[in-house]
Amino acid sequence: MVSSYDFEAADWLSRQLVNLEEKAKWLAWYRGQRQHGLLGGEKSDDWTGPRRKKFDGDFDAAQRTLAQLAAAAEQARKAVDAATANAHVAAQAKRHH
Amino acid sequence: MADVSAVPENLFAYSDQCTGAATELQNWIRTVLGPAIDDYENGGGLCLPLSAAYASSQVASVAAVDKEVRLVGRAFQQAGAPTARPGMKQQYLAREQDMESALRTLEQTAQHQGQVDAGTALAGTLGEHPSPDDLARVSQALDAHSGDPYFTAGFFNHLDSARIAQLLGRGSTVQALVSAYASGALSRTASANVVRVLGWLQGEDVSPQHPHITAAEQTALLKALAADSTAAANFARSLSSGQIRNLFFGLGPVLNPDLRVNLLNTLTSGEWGTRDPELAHTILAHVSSAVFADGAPELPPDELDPLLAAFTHLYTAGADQSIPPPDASNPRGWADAYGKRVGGEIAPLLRAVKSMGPESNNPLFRSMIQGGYLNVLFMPTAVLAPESVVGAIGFTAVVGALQSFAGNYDPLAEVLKEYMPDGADKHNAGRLNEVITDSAGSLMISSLISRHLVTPNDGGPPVHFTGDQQADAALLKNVLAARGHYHVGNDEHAPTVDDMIDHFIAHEATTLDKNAW
Repeated sequence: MVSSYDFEAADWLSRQLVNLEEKAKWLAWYRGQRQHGLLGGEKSDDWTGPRRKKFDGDFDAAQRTLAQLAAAAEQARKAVDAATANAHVAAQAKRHH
Repeated sequence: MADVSAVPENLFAYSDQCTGAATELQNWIRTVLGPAIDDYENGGGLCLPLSAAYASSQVASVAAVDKEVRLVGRAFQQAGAPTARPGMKQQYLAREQDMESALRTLEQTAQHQGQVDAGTALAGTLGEHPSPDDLARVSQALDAHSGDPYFTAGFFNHLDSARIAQLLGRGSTVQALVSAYASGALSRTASANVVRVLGWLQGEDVSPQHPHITAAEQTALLKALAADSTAAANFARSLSSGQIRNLFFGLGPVLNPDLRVNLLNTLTSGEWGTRDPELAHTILAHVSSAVFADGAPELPPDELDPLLAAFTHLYTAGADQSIPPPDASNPRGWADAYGKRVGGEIAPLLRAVKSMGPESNNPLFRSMIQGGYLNVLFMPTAVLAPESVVGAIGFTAVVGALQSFAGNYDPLAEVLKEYMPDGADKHNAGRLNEVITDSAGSLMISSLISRHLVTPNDGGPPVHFTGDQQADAALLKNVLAARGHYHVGNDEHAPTVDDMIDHFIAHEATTLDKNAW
């Protein structure tokens, strides 16, 4: 049982974790946009060769990393929100005693 | 090797924009998310499975992928050639191998960025109109780093031609330039600046617009480059046929009689120092185009005479180095290709020699025919496996041979007597061709021995070189003298050394006939 719980800090963190999830997703979207616009598709002249192929693999792996980070942010946010809800219940129970 | 292309401007934009966005996210993690997590955990909150450090490291790994794209763009600019696409952003085309090599150098340099930046900073202290004190100060500072390839590359990459010319005669500037060339990190612009400086000989023009260098300084730089085959190879790589032509003709050789020979020696050293057969071929093609092509200025016989030895060294080295390593699975095919390549590469030289006329009485030429240069051309240590060529034994032998004959020991005199009648007075291109053919053919067999591909027919193990110059020369002599008693490779129908030389000569002679006469 938590004896004290900083609800303000919890609220602030919950919102920043939402921001982290959105920012990670935005960065993945932005990279995709820039890759498509500047580096061209697979058949374009803009960048060709084995090094391009390697980059495409690394690019996709990096996109997965960002997706995992967004998922981790969402999980952490849910955990914080659940802890906050529990702390509220505990605080109320204490008040009624 | 395949050609690859890119639009560097787009690669730079992608890299800068994406790493910029990632950096912003990292900053936000550090300044907002991190404190938010700390405040929460310290305020009685649960221990989060997600930390700011973890989040930041994930974003950093993404940024690293995008950061590399900028280096790739620079590698294309370094190693490639721009294509003409009017109205569109500049595209570069490069051999994949060249781009990858440039990228490796850029990555290595990035790891030594501190040293590069320090060299750049020193160059920045010179200013546009340095005083003698400024030059002395910078020269002294450079001395302390003359062996540092990254510092010196950073330094010279940010100097213009005039500053390089002013520094050339001072302290260890020449050594520093050689270090920079050896690093492979000297930019195209810097290389072009150095070549420009080489053409600013005192007396060549009276332009007050730029400083001049002395003949001694010019010679010192070329000789120092020749002594470091990797630096020489990078120098040769940067030299166009136009630049070779400018150095070779005009007032330069008049003001510095050693210029032509030293330039040829440096290029020859570059040939031995390159591991890239295409580059070896390109260097020779540039020389041929500069000096012997139809549009080239005239090189009269009395000017070609004293250069014949140096040209022969260069062309033999280039022809040998432009051959890919032996193909044990198809040795005859490899010998055919070797013959064709040698024939094609040396044809321009022989065409020029032919123009000297049958009456040429050049004592060096005669000496060459009589075998004075044979121990140079046949120097077996010169064709040890490539990693040995730039090792102490192999390279010292080659440089020593370039500078002087290796004593009077001539291991192949007996074998080649049939090609060189006593008191040879038939000085003609045909005779020179035979000498070069035999030397190149022997270099071919040396290549095979150094890769343990030559085996006695009686069943012993493959013969090989040991690094003992005299022993190696004797081994080569024995193999050539008994060429029917050794075979190449392990195939059931393996060719004898005799077969290989026949294949080589047949193709070399045919190619020469087509190109030289």
